[in-house]
Amino acid sequence: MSKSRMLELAHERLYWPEPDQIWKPIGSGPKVYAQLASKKIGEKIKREFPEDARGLEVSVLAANPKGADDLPINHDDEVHWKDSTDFSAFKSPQMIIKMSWQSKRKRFLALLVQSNEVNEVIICSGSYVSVHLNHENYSIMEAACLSYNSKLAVYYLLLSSHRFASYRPEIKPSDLLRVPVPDTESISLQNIQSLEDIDEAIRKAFSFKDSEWVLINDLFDYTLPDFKGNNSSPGRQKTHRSTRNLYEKIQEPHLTKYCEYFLRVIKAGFGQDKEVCATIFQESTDDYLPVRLVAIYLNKLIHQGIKVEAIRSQALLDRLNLLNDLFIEQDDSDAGGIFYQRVARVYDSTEWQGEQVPTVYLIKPDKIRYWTRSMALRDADDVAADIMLGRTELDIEPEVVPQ
Amino acid sequence: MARRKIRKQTIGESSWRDTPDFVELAKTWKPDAISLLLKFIWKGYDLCHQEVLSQVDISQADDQLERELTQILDLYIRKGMQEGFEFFTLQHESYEMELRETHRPKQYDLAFVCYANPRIKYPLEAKVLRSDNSVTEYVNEITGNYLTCRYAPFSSEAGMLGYLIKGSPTRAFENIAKAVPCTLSEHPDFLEREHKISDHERNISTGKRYPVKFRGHHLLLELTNKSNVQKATAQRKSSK
Repeated sequence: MSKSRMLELAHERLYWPEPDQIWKPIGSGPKVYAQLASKKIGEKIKREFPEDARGLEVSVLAANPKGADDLPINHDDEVHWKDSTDFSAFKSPQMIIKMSWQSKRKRFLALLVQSNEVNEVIICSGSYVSVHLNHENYSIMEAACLSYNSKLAVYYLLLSSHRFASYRPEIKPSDLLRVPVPDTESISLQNIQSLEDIDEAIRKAFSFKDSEWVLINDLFDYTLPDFKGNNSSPGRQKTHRSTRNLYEKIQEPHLTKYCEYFLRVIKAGFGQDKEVCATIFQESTDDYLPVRLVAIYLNKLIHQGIKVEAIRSQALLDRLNLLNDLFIEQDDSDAGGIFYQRVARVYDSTEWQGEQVPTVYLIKPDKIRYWTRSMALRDADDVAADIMLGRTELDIEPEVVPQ
Repeated sequence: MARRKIRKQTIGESSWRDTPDFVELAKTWKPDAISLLLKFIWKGYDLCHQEVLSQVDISQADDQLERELTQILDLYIRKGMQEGFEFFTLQHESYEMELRETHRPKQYDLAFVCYANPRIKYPLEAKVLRSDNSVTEYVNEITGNYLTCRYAPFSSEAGMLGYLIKGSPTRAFENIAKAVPCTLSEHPDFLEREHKISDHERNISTGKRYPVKFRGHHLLLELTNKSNVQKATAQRKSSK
């Protein structure tokens, strides 16, 4: 009988902890005891009986901690007189919030304390905050717990906490009090299994629109990791020309989303019947250029939706050179060309079946952060404002203003 | 002979092209964008009517009626903008900074404002019409503010919201047309609504480059729940 099967049997018949809990204990108690046992007992046996102790593993028969009951009991209840003002926050029901942003989870952490004994609560260090509400208001604490664990808290605190937004990934209790907490009726902890479930529950509770949730997601996925990270952060990576999921190969995942959201803004502002489409220009070889080019065709459907057009790197470079000349010609300032400016928007007409089609060319560095969905919203807002400022009649004095 | 001074361009003008295809695009798309804004107002009014106005007797509420109605309507217009992908947002009591002087600048009751360029505004002024005859204040907004460029200096279109408490919209439109004076015509996108348009030429002060042609949209939002009014009138009569 294998070792793992024996442990499974022991679990079933003798009520030992599950095999996983024995070999990979967690928490401050079992994990530390297991490390000690391995060091003090395991190494001694290996030294004394090198032949017989091959493959020896040592651990402890202790279940992983599930709540406050598994934490060590504090017997030192003396505190400094200046701190002993009000301990009402250390009562059950209790919520513990860690005051710093966790880089691995990419979010903040709040936990509702589960305790078998009413009088048993957690005493924490200054890195945590303890929150207590009476039983009648427990649902408010549940809603707050979800909110603090969600992407929304990261978004909100990055934009509102000067410490978190500038140099230190740590917040103050006053920052926490500003984080929005959903209405208790709109939220439930049932069916919450994962962080994704938390985000979804918060999104629904606040009725965030897709356009709003995109801003939260992009800050969470790109802005903050870029800010706290280094050259390997996601927003600084090159855009993917293609990726593969279980079923198919997906062309230009980032730029396609960018174009999709760009077109959504144009259609939402000018009408769903508007004929707009986008072309993503992609190098036909692995000889990638450091910039990406997207064309948005307005007022004419020269193809359906979003199309990826393969083009030789040299041909793409020639096209960029043409756009650069046009950009310099259009812009009489000393801003330099498109290769000098990191982001350029060039308006030009494209000839299609003998017709001139108004076209917006967007030229930006080949880094994901320039091609996110939230950037698409902003770029499309700019183009829409240009349309609203555009002249509506030829050969007359231009009006300064939208009509 | 003096050399003609070359007019400097704004950022938008410097990059936007004036070729026929781009001009055609702006010509067809701009009015469509404005129609969409106006549709949001009607949608907001419908939602507001369903949830609030149909439940109360407005004729009993006198205090700060115009301000409160606009504030409530603002909420429901936003509620109607479900997608959130529009390139503009709605501002309640938005300032018109162009005409600022030493004192507080003028404020629009409501204004749709472009995110990318907040100077691009589509302003809306609201006035309570206690009956279809009481159009004086409504008309003063048009003749005294819109047509003198004190309001909407940069826009060649703007809207008036008339909160009609009592009377017939048709008669109110007739009275407005007579008092301005102007011709009120139908808007093809709002044939089923109490929505008319009037075209004007504005007097522009020298040195200013505001659009001369101006189109006013007139939206009459009926607030009266007829059964409520009948009940209230009966109550008043019986109390006398």
